[in-house]
Amino acid sequence: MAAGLDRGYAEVRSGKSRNWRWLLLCLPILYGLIFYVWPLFQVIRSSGFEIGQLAAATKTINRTVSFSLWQATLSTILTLALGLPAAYVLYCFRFPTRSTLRLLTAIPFILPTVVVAAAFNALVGSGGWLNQVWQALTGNEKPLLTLTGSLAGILLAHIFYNLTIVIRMAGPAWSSLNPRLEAAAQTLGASPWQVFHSVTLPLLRPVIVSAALLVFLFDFTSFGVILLVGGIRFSTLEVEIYRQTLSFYNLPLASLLALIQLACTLAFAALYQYFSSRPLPLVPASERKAARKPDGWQQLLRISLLILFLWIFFAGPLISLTASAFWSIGADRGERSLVNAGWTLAHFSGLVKNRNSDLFYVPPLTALMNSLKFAVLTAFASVGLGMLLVYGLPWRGKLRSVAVILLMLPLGTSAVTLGLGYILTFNKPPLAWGGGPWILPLAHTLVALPFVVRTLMPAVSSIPSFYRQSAAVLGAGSWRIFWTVDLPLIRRVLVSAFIFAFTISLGEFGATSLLYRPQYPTLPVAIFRYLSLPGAANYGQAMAMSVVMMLACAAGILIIEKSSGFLTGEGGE
Amino acid sequence: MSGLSLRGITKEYEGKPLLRGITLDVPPGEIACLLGPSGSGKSTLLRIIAGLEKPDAGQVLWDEQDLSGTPVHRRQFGFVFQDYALFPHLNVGRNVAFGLHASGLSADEIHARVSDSLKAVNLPGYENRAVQELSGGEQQRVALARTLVTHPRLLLLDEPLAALDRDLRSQLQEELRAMLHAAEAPALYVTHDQEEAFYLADRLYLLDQGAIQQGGEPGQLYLHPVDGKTAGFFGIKNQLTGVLSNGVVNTSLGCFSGLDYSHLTPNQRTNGSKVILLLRCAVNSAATRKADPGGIVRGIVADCRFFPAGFQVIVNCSGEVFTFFLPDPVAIGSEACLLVQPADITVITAEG
Repeated sequence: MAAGLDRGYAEVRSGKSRNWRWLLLCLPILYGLIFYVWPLFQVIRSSGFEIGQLAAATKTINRTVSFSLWQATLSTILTLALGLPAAYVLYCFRFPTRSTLRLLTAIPFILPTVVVAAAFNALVGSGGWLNQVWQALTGNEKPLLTLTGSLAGILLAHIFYNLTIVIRMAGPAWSSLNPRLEAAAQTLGASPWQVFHSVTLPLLRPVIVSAALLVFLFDFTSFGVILLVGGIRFSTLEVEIYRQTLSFYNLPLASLLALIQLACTLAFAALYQYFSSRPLPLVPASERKAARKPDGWQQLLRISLLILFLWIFFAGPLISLTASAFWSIGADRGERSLVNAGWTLAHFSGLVKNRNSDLFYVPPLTALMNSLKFAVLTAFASVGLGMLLVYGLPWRGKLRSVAVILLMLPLGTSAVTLGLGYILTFNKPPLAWGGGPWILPLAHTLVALPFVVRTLMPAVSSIPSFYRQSAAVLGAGSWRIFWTVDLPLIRRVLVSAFIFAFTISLGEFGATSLLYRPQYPTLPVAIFRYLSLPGAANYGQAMAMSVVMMLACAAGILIIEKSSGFLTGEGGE
Repeated sequence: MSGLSLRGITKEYEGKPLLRGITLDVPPGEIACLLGPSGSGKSTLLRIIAGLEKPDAGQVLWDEQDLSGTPVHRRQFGFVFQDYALFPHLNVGRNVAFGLHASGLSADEIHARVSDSLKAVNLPGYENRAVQELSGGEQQRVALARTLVTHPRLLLLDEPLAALDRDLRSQLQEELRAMLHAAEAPALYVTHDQEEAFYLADRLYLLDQGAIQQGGEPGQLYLHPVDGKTAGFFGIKNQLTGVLSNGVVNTSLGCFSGLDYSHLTPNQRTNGSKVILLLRCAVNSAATRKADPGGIVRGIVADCRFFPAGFQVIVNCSGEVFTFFLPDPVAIGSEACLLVQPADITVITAEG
């Protein structure tokens, strides 16, 4: 059917269309060359080494590569171990709060890494709620457990972040497996465990492998979580690129690490593409088994416990974060403004006034205004470029498939690598950047573009061709068809894409941390700075800013969810 | 009694009663057919017997033993699904071998059993085929082989032929009957196709509105349907309502006398009882009628259409419409005569 639709539109757009199509593609291609291909080329070029330096570098490389793989493997296994039961319960059973819980599990994925880091800090950091409550209850001075700065903290944050991938991919597949396959296995004498092992699991294997690879990819390139939750002791490739670039200014080593990372991510991405294209024996939506009720009290108990755990696991950090933003820990030396422990609005009022004359002081309000400015610019740029791409690309054929794969490449390229490439490219003529703030929205646009295109493309290509055909028969030209037919039909999707790009830019931390200048900090950078500074007031300010950011993202997500059902995969258009 | 017995099976679906106290028996060696329109709950009943669903009330018994505590995989009931439900990740041979792995047979024995069972369903040497490349008919044969190879003590078949086209269906019907009889296990066969049910059944149950309307030997059911709706479901479309008085049935087309009332209960044959006459009589076009043997109802040919089985002639007799099949066409608007003999008429009650 899709081919039929495509042909219909191709016919309407035949004739002169080929020429203006290239005209549309001019700008995105130019942008891609300057802001993606050229910087990457610079990274590759600078990764050359002299033999003498290599020996010293080898140790760093070995250490970071093995830690990246190790923590990503552990995180992925744990995420699957929790994610598969969660997917099963959230999609195959009917229980109160189900859709709310589904939405809740999806929220961390959209939150900026700094917010997630701040949230974990607020819950299980040394001054976090867990320890505060413990100390208050027992009168014990020693903290109960501090997970920030430990591998356990990193793993927890990764699970928190990526669990929704497993739930969102495995859940719908699970609930749409032909229920008669499992029934057939049962009637052939297979026990529940045998049914799961020899029917359910093999059928779900492609989707589980895809989800695992995607989770692994995100964990492998993890940056903000490692930097902020893990702390100084831990270094993935991504963090090491950042450190080598900013702290040691060892650009060749940073480039080499970036190259290694790029090779790894592309390999994982290719595997993912391979597995995600394998079909599942699904049944049409009308035939799906209705979500079940638990069978027997044992199952009811197990399911209830899992649901309760998921609620605590996902709501805990977010509630802790919010509570910390309104809570003053107490007096720190030299901070007379905050003396008593208790509820306070001081962290929020502190956002707008300069408390001290700190040289490194980042005015939070300025950071917020910068972030908003960059986010709006990014949203306009990426939606504009996305529309040019969606309409400029041929409607079908080889060129389109190649282009779609090329468009996803920036997803496999880490933001820090991109930042490094920009530093290497734009610090000298002919593309000298001169330190202007415009570099940030341009970098953010590249990060957001794949998501925008993925949102817009299916919507545009699913417009039935007979709408356009009847408009054309009624005498409308291509331009009028676009304005009167296409645009009204994709309006909601356009809004979604715009907000998507907006929130991505708002939370972008990897590229920003390398490219920002003290004159124009963004909110994530400010949160990072405040979290790394000592003192209760700084901590509180970081929490307050994180809450502002969380609310901004949550508002955006809600709008997207309302218009497209993006997160829960329900409803929408 | 031995074999399968259902006692008062009740099931609600989304707050509405779907099955209302189903009681039936499938004795050893018999093929029982459960005939019912779609949505009558017959598939649900089958799933309850298999243990895939739990009844709200009632018992599933096997050889007098209550099965409510026996999980699906211990019941040893084979189940054949309408959509075959072949495992897409296994080839034909592994699909058929699936139920044998728990049996403790050696790999060689399993191989031999699989091979034999594929021969029995006329698919010899299909072991290494992928199930996706089989046609619908071949897939259903594999599904049958997969079930029969485990020697289930009862076979449950849920419209196994419904997804096939007509030619294949009648061919497979014959094979299926032979296979079911060869398997020697009792079978409960669910279908909405009355021809299929009559062809296969040793015993027929008619399920409608959540209850068994009638059950018994197929020929008896056909001759004496319990009510007009049942008769219609069996394909007896020519019905005439009337009122009994003094051994005569008064209808809008006149009086009928000399009919057989022996299977009506005394209550149903009192004066003033409402009855339905099932007419299995012949029709003649007025032009070809030679003599007048009496018992003739005249009508007008309202329509005449060609069907492969003959010409379908619709005759309107003063408002009552009857359908017949004739070898030759008749002119629309011409007169036709129904040749009614008492022996061609079955009287059933129309009282609730």
